This record gives sequence, structure tokens and C-alpha cells, in this order.
Amino acid sequence: MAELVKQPKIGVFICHCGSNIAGVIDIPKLLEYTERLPHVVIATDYRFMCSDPGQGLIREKIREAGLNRVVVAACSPTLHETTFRRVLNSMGVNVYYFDMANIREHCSWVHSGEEDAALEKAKDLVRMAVARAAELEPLEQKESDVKPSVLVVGAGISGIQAALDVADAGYKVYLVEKEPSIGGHMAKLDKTFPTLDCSSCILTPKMSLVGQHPNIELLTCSEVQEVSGYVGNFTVKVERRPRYVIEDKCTACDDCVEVCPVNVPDEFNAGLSWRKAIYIPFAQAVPNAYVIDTEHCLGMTPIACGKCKEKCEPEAIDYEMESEILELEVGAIIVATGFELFDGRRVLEYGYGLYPDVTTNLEMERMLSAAGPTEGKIVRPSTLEKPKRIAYVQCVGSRSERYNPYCSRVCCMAALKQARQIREKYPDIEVTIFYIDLRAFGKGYEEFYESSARDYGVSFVRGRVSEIRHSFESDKLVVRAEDTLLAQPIEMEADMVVLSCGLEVFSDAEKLTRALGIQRSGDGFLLEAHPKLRPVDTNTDGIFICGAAQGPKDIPDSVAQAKGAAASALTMLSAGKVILQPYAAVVDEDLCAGCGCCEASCPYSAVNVVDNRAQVTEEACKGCGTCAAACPNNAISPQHFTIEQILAQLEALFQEAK
Amino acid sequence: MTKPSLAVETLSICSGCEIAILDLHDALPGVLDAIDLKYIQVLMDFREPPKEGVTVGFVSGAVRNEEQVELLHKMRERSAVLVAFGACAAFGGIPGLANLHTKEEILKEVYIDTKSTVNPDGVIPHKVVPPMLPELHPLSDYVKVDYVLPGCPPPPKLIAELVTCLLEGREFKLEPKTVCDECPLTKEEKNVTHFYRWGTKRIDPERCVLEQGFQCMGPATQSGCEARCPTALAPCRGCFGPTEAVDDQAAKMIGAIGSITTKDFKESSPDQTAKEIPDIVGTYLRFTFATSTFKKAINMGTAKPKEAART
Repeated sequence: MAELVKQPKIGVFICHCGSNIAGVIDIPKLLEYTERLPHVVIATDYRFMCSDPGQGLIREKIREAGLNRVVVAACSPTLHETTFRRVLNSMGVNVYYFDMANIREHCSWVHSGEEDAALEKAKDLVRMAVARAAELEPLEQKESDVKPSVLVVGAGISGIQAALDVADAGYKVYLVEKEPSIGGHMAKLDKTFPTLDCSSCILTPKMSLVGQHPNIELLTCSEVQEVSGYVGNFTVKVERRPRYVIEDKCTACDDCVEVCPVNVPDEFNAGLSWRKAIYIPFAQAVPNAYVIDTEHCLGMTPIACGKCKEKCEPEAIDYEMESEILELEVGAIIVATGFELFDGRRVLEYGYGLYPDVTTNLEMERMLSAAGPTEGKIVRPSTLEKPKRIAYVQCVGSRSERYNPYCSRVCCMAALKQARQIREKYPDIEVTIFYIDLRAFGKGYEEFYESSARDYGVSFVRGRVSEIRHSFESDKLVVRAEDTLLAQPIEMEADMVVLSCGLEVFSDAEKLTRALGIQRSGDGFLLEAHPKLRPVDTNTDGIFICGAAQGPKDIPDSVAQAKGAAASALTMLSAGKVILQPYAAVVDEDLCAGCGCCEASCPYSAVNVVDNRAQVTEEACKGCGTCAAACPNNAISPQHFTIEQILAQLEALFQEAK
Repeated sequence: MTKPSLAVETLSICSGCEIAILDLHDALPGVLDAIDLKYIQVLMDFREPPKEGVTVGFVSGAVRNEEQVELLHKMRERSAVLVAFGACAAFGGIPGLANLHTKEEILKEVYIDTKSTVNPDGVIPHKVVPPMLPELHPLSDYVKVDYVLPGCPPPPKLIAELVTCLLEGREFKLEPKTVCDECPLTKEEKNVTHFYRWGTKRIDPERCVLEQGFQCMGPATQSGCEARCPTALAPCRGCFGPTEAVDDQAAKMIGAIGSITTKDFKESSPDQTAKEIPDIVGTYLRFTFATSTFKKAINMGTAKPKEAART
């Protein structure tokens, strides 16, 4: 009780941060002002408050003056809040009796050259922090167990790598893939830059490892529907669509394919060849089992067709299979849902979809592949003859105000690699790359570019292509651009044009991010918690991201990130426990009318209306306060930023400085 | 023992609140038996409240002219308990929206500019009628109010409850919950992408009208009315004002609207949502403009009434 009625005794510690703060803000004047603020019993300064002597100073003053609240006026709390909280903890003061006034990032750094105004602003910031400190409440941290399993969403190279790393460490992995096979985009590539390894040769060993790993449960044709719970204790609902083929019974004899009367453009070959309505996605598919494409199948009854079932000797085909909802319990989630290729048809002036000889980088990749539709031969789609000249158009859908402002990062190297492969196979085909800037930034990339130009005779034109049209006289494509190095418009005839389509976020990103309660950045890709220091974390604890889902990325970067995400998840799993900050919002049952505005606004799905009253899942709540802003009756408030605390800060802000 | 007495004073108002007293129907004779109704202008020909004083004074309507200021003070002096009766008395009500304009603008519009007015000399009444105040005020701007019974008009059930409480010497208090608490419509998910004008779209009679894209003030409005409007599938207009937990009903509702319309920016955007709400003041401040933070900001010169009126 004595604790409760105790008057606030606030100590304010002002940091010089070398000259970062003291070089702009007049510290003695700020100190003099701070000493006169209500509840402040001591105000002092030091060159580096975060240093050991600085922390010692705070300890000493807590002891001497019996401080029960501490305000440090220094840098951002994201840098040193935990440092100073540890100091409070060591002195037996509740760590939530602490606040920081950010007089560096918010003041001295942005107001250098206007010292007087900066001092006034620093006074405001300190006054507000002191006002909030007086309203702070002691809170208790909690611990929670971590389930020893991980969900990996997406089984491209990133998802595969992350799943393998976690599984090898001895933890259970659920690997969810919406397609019938794992492998993702990498499985479609012929060779990879800059080393020209055969893509499937390096990928398929990993794929088959995934298929056989005792710790990995592979769920293909499956999608995440709903995620509930919190860090360490997620419950995930996954919908598994039926294959209509019993994997264990199927002998992969191919009899069903022979009798299937339906031809469908083959997605795996970028639509350049045909497959049947019952098919295996590609030769090395994992699982290596057939699947029926219900969208194109004539109908799974003997009346409509039923030929495959009739033909199947081991009776592996079951038309009665149904979707099932699986409920998985996992401790962490890794999102590796990859990218989608920009649809070249959106750039009308390039005529993709109109002229058959305008193709995409992915189509060229399939043509180059010995297992592809042309068995590795390069042909003009319109005539099926060998082209004499191929033009590459870079930055299709990327680095453009009209489509995506960002650089897709892989297209320059992909185009260089393809150009070099073409020149290697057919020295008589001329290859010209139209580019804005060639971005060869990775290890060994610049060397690869130099060699492509020097040793393989790939030619380059610097300029964005403005239009591609078809010439009836020559039956060729005419590429128009401005050669910005010569500063003149040029027109070039080519037999074939390859559009280097950029990378966009995976489809259904909206649905998945909503289910997971994670955020996206302005470009649509998944948002990391910090662009430099927390690149694979999200703002939702226990959910990690990797690969091209986070932003355009090549294979080495995707694999590196996947390993990072796996390591982050493993750190959590092996610790076995997570500390939950006591920030969660609390509901005032006397005021709550169950309108549900909080539920709609919560980015972490932590609030639910049950029996006409809001309920907060404490472990999932991050204390962000969005619900408090949404609540039309002030019935919900996060514990560490209460309405009283914020109002106290605002009142202090608008109070005339004494 | 003498019966407790009641006086009802009518200020700037449509008299709907007085009719609400008559709406007590079957309960009315009982009330009239228990109390001595001394003064009510809609029924009796008196000019001012009884000099000898009354136990309870109901004041309906807001204060718009000097005579009303005087009457209000008389009511306060002569009533042991003073009740702000109805939305206008409590927080300005619909006539409070006139505070968007100056007194001069209002008089010019009413007596000169309206198309049906024939006033070649441009005379604005200034004799015999009491002088108009520059702005409309709720009662609490002038006198201490003991109880507030909001509503436009207050529901008869609550009037009866208030009277019973006063007779039995109990405290009258509305639970500080909002209309949603009493609303029988089903709440599913508040993810609103478009707003519609009432009457322009078919309404699902089972589901929360706000979720269906109609501007319902229920989430930010004091309960007590048994959700009479949403129950009839008309969105709540907010006539009970904010609960005691909230300072500004409109600010809270706009905050809530922001939070339920931003789930999917593919379907909607803040700009487009704002466009779909043509009358922001009339929607969110219909009853509380005179006492709103927004009005205070206008008075402080930090917001512009003309622009507000247009938006």
C-alpha cells in the first residue's frame, strides 16, 4: 500500500552523446529548466549516459535520492531502453517506471543550426517525458512456453532451405506449399548466374531431402487459412486441397496421362507446351505424384469422362477425395512465399500477348532448358525457326513510375546470363540488351558482366525501350528506344524480343498477411521489423520472413535470408521460453459495448469480441494502441501507454513553459 | 404532506421533448397523481415558472436569446433539482448546428435571402422580440445542471425512470455504455469499404447497419434508448451524445470510422471514404456541435466554420 501512495520522485538524466546532443542543445540551460519541473528531485548530465560510468551515475542517484522513476533524455528508446531498464532492475525499481526523451534523433540531429529552437524543443520533450513518468504504473513480465515446431509457408528455394535447417536441428517442420510440387521458381530456371550451375542439379537434391526428411511434414496443394495464438504458441488452420490421386498407390506409370483427352498450357513451361488435366508438374517434382487439375478436367464421373480412373491399374485415382482442414500447433512461422513475375501484358506498348515473338525472361529460361519445351533450342515462336537477332528489354514493370518504382535486382544478371548462354550455343545469333543501368552488384557479378561483353560479344544499348511494333515488310519486330549515350533515337529490327519482367509480391499477399497479422511495405512486399538490424523478423513476434517475399532477391540472398530466418526461429525454439512484455491492452468491461471497432483495427488479431465484450489475447497483443484510438468509448487501453499517460504528455506539451 | 412539484420550461426547441412526456401514455396518470405539475407551457397559460419554487425543474431546449438566459436563471433559482431535458438542453442539439454561422448571417438568410421572403426594405425584426445571442448555448454554459436526460426526444421509459428515481430519492444514472450494447442487430466483422446514403441500398435486417456501410453513430453514443433507431434499421444519429468516458463524440466516431475502413486499401482509400461522407458536421456533430472540440477550435481560430459547413 505504501508503494501505491508513494509520491513520484523523478530523476532526469541528460546525455551529451559526445557532441551529438551537446553540440546543438545548451545542456546547462536544459538542466536548469528540468530541475524546476514537477516531481523532479534530481536532474543531472553526463557525456555518455549509456556507458558504464553513466549507468553507474544513475544507480548512485537512485540510491542517494531514493528515486522511484527515471527519465533519460538521450537517444531513441529502440537503442537504449533495455540498457537503462537493466539499470533500474539492478536497483530494485520496476523497469516500467522508466521513460526516455529522445532529444537526439527528434531534436539535435534534425535542428542543428537552430540552437535556440532546439533547446525549446528539448525542454518540451523532457517536460512531456516527466509528465508521463509521473503517471507510469509498475507492470510484471510474464513467460510462456514455446511449441517445438515450425511452420514454413512456401516451398521455393527459401522455404526449402529454411525447412531443412530447422528440421536438421531436430525440430518438427510443417512445410506448406500451394502448388502440387515444391521447388518454386528456381525449379523452372535452366542455369543460375554467375557460376552457371544447372539450377535443377543444385535444387533437386534439396527437394528430395525435404521429401524424405523424418522431421518435415510436407503439405502440398495446401494454403494457410487462419492463424491464431501468439509467439511460441500459434494455431494454424491449413486447407489441403485434394489431389484425387492416392500418392502411396500411384506407380507413376503414366497410363492415365496417355488416355486423358484434355490439353492445357503447361505452367511449368511458361505456357510454351501442353500438359494433360492429370499430370505431374515436372520430372523431378516432389512429391512425385499425379494430380488432377479440376479446373480443366472434363468432370470426375464416368458419365463425363472417367478415362484415367478406368485405366489406372493400381486403383490410385479417387474422385471422392475432399478438401481437409488441418490444425497445426507451432512455435514459430517462417513466411517464404516468394514472388510473382510482373505480367508483361500490362505494358501495352511492348505488345506482349499481341506479337508471338515478344516473350518473357521466364519463357526464354524454359527454352534454354534441355528439359524444356524446345529441348534447349532457341526458336522464334511465330515461325519456330532460329532467330538471327534477339533484343532484351530491361526493367519491364520495374524502376517505373507507372508500375513499380523499385529495382527487381535479378533481371540484369538474368538477362546477361541468358545472353551469354545464347551466344555460347549459337555464336551467329546477335544479342542486344536495352538497359537503363546495368546492376551487377553481387559477388562475381561485375566480372560476369565484363566477360559477357568482352568474351561473348553481347552488345548493349543504354536507353529505355519506348515501343515494340511488328513490321509487315520484314516480318520482324522493331524496337524503338533512345540511345542515351549517343543522345539519339534508334530503331532496331529483331526476330525476337525478350522482356525482362520484374518481380512483384506473391499473389494473395493481402489474404496471407491479414491471416498472419504481419505488415507489408509500400512496394507490397512483406515488411521486416528493421531494414538493417532485424531483416528476417516481422513486427509480430515469432513470425519470420525470408526470400523474395520480403523483396526482390537472387538465389544466394534468398538462401542466406532463409538460413537467417531458420536460425532466428531456432533461437526461440531452443530457448524454450519467451518473455512477454506486459504492454497488452486491457478492456474496461463497464464501458465496452462490444461494437467491434477494436477487433477490426487490431493489426495482430489480438482482440476479439466474445459475448458482446472485447477480449484481448494478452500474448498476441503488442500494446500498439491502435484499438485505443479506434474505441469510440475509451473502453480499451494498452497498459504501458494509457490514455492518462498520453493526456498527461499532451497537457505538458501545451502547457506554457515556465 | 404536499406532493413534489414539477415545472417544465421550454427554451429554443421544437417542443418534441414535451410531447415525449405525453408519450408516457399509461404511466402518465400515475405520474400526475404522484407529482404536482405546476408549469408547462404546452399545456398551461403561464409566462414564467412559479415564484414559490418547485421540487424539480425540467428545461428543454438550448439558450439562443436573452430572454431565455433570464428564464433559465429563474428556473435554476426556483428549482431544487434542475434537469437538462433532451439533446438541445444537454449539448445544443440540432439548433446548435447554426453555430456554424454568425448571428448576422442567420438573420440575413432567414429574413432577406430566402426565396419565399418578401421583404423589400430588408427589415430584420429588432423590436418586441428578445435580442438574439451571438451563439447558441447548452444550459451548462450558464447554470449548474443536476441531471442530464439526453435524447431527441428523451425516450418515455427513461423519463418515467428519472421521475421515479427523483420521487424515491435515488440517484439517476445512465450506464456509460454505448448504443451497440443494447442493439439487437448481429455484428459480424467491421470491415467497411464503402458508405451509402440511407435508403439507397437494400438493408440486411439482421446485420449491424454500420457494417453494411451506413453511418451509424451507435458505437460512440450513450446508451439508454434501447437502440430504437438501429432496431428500426435506421442508423443511430447520436442524439444521446457521448458517454461520460468520452469528451468528444464526433472525434471518437471519426477515429472508429478510420479504423474500420482501412483493412483493405484495394477496395477503399481514406480519400475515397471521405468523399463518401458528404456532410461530416451533419453526420458526426448533428447533436453535439455546440459543445464539440471542433467548435472550440473554430472559436480559437484554428478551424474554419465555412469550410466545415461545406465539407
